[in-house]
Amino acid sequence: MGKLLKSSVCALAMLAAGPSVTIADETCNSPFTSALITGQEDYLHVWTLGQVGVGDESDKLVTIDVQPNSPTYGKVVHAVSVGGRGEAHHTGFTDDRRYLWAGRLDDNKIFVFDLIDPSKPKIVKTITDFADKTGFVGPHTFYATPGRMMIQALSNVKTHDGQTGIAVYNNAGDLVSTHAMPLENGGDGYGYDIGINPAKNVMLTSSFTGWTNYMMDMGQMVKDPEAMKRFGKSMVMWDFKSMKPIKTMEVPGAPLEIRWSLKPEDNWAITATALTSKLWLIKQDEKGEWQAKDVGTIGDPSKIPLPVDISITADAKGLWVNTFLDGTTRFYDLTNPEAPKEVYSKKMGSQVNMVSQSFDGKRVYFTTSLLANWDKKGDDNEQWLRAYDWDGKELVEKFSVDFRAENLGRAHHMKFSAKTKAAALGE
Amino acid sequence: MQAGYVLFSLLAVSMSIASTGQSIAGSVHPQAGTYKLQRIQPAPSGWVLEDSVWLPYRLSSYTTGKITLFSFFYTTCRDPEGCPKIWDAFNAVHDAIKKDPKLQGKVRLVFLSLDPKVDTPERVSFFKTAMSTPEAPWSFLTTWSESFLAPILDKMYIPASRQIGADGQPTDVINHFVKVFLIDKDSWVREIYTTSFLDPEVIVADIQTLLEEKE
Repeated sequence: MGKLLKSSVCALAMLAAGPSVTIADETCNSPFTSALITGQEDYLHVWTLGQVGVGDESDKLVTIDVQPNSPTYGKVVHAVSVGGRGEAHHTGFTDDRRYLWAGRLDDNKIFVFDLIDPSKPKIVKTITDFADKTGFVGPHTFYATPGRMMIQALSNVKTHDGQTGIAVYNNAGDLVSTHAMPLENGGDGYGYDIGINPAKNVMLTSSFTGWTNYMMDMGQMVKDPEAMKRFGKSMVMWDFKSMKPIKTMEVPGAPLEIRWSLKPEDNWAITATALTSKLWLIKQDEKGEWQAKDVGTIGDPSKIPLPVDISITADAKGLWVNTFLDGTTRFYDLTNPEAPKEVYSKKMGSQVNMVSQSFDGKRVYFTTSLLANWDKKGDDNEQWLRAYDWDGKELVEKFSVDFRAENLGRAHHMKFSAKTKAAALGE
Repeated sequence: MQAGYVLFSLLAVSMSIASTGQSIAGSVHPQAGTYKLQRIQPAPSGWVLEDSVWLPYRLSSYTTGKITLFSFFYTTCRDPEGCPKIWDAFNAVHDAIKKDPKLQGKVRLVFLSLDPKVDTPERVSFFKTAMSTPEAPWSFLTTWSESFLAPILDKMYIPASRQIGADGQPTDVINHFVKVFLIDKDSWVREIYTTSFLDPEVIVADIQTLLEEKE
């Protein structure tokens, strides 16, 4: 994967520096993303939900200095409010890694930030007609493909349930095409995450729930049997080139994040199901057909720990799994992906959602917010970003940013960036 | 003489990659004509130079009327994962066009230099003489200066920058995003390939798919 990661950049100097140069970066970016960070990341950008009574109450992109040698290490160095609260959720880099697209699940606005100066991201475009143009609601996953941004939505404008699709935009922000999630051959029409394996020309998608559920108070929702039926239970393998479904696989309980093994010789992906607390492996069988297989449980499924974000190590031998309701992170030995083994767990706080790790696996970052109406209430609504070192045995906290004390809001999705040392052509 | 050395070097690196590399997507790619290539973005406008008389041409004259395979290069690039990899793919597609009468005369290949200071029209014209054929024309373009090049790069979302040396000054090493663009005869970009998905068989299938489209 190291070769793949740097493959898009023609840089003799990098090669001349020899093997001591470490390819790093977050492990969960699109394989089409270029200009990946070598070595230590400098900044962490946190897409943050505005919270009533906290600071300016607006959604914002918060930038934190994570360079240990910096005098502002562990401090918030920049925050840009985008106005209002629209259920800020996930972000994704364009393939050239210069622009960060950030979506809101309620009002469907998409903000494009220019990270030419990563210490001061600035908004250069706001897409306000996503729902009108696509018919979809809830732009969730932002996944770069060459010259384009693929956006997996969660819902639709007509019914606000889980039937949805994928919208493809060009890097300028113009809509290129839309693709409905399949309803035939076992498809349930739901969507959540996207994961592409270019070597196999396949795209894998997962399934969550629609606007009516993800905007509902969680306590109210779990008491509503009809609402609890409205979750996805499938994963779809697509022919990426033609954007046609190849096979729909039954994966009950809302399969969420998709992580392909980053090893080029591998042909499997792994996901976690939110409601059933399972790990599922998606892999080709001996005949080359894609199959989904339940390969283990996460915590005690009867207590519904609610697995949320997962993060795979670069060597595909380890997996971080966060469970929101018990505020716990778990590390799984994935040496045999058919039988993941939990080898470490740590209570992080009252709630934990997102996890991002550096390419060498030595630095791991966590945040707390899931959805505004699903986060815990009162004192249990902890909102923070915490940075840890990981030596394979223990997480050691390096710093913590209290997003409530800092008047920022609810900390959600994270992305890395680094300063560049180059002179752009023509400048 | 110098250009000849560069060409030999690039071709040598290219052949070396071809002998050790592997097809990444050919066996799993759908059959030509069974899928649709979307109109991604218009090809950019701009002014370019092609031959040693330094006459300006509109870039659009190289992206309309035929299907165009377009990319950026610079003649002193040595990173095997960079320009040589593009050369490798272009050579393979060029060979495929020459062998297939259905493709001949309907496809052009275009390289635009990232280093106008070094890659003068005289220098890049050598490559056209060596590589272009009547059935598969291959143009090697450059610009007056980086200020003419930069807007084209911006519109194609190609970050390109000079590496900074130990003395703090820009060097002759150019970092750039490896992208290849397939442009239809109406000057719309219909596919973009990176090294994660740069397979000559896929490119040829995409060209055939565009040729099978109804007017």
